[in-house]
Amino acid sequence: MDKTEIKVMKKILSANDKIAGELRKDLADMGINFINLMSSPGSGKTTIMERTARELGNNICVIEGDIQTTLDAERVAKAGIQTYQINTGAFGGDCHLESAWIRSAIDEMDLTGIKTLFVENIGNLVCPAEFDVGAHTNAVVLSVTEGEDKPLKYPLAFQTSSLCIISKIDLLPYLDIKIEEIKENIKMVNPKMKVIELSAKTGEGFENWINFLK
Amino acid sequence: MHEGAIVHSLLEIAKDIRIKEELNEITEVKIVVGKFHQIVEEVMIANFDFMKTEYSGFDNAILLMTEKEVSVKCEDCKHEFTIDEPIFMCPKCDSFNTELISGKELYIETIEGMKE
Repeated sequence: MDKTEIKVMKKILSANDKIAGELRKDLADMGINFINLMSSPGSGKTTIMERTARELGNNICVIEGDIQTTLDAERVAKAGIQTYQINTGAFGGDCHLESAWIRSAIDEMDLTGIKTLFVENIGNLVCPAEFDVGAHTNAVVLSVTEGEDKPLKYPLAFQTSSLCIISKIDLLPYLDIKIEEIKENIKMVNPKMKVIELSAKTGEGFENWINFLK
Repeated sequence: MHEGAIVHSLLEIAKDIRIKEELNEITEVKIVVGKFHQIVEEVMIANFDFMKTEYSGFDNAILLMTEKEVSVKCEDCKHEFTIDEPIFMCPKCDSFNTELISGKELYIETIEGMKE
């Protein structure tokens, strides 16, 4: 037997990227804007979705990604919009969503009249950033309680996203955190990143998010 | 633990290549990973050694990982530089008008195997 070396030069995630690219195109052809929300657990993604649903009505829908439970989907469904829950427990408890699972989800959803599809990715700032889910916009949600240093600690999530939503700004009077330092650190990692500051609880700054979606 | 999903994908590609190239066994898979990925070499190797047992012809296969520097280009003064920290500021002109030019690679470079 002879030893042989084969030059491969193939992207490891090419199968995922292919489906992601097809999804991006198919949804654009249907006139649907697909936004992938990534964040640490408890950043306020679901509360943002609830308020977005109340303000924009039923032309949006949400795919919820969680390792376990349907709690987030139940919360958002109460706001009167279509939701779909992906539990990755069935896929080995994966810490991120992949494009094939999004494809399966939308094949089961009724997208008639839908203008914006949101994915609430699994709550962590590491793994979801590695996988293209086919979104037109990747966004990071960062709550003010998480500290100024997160963009520097999780650079890939901030580098692969074009929008950062700084959430829970109603809590700023009770914290030592300086929002300008958060924005400075975002600029270090991704100078072109758009930033929207809001509180989904009080509605402060929320109009900027709604205008971004329109 | 995204390394598990990444190793699964690379084993699937390597399996197809083993069949296509009619290799009796795979002895080495060499991958290139840009440092911007949050991928830990030891975790990749541990996953590879565990998951390869599900594939035939991989008993003696090893995973080799080469890391690639994060390189950035300044759009203002055209200076190209590497960074160790995620700070996209040009060291020459202090501009933030910069673009990542390498560091996000994640691909299989070569596969080595035995053939009759």
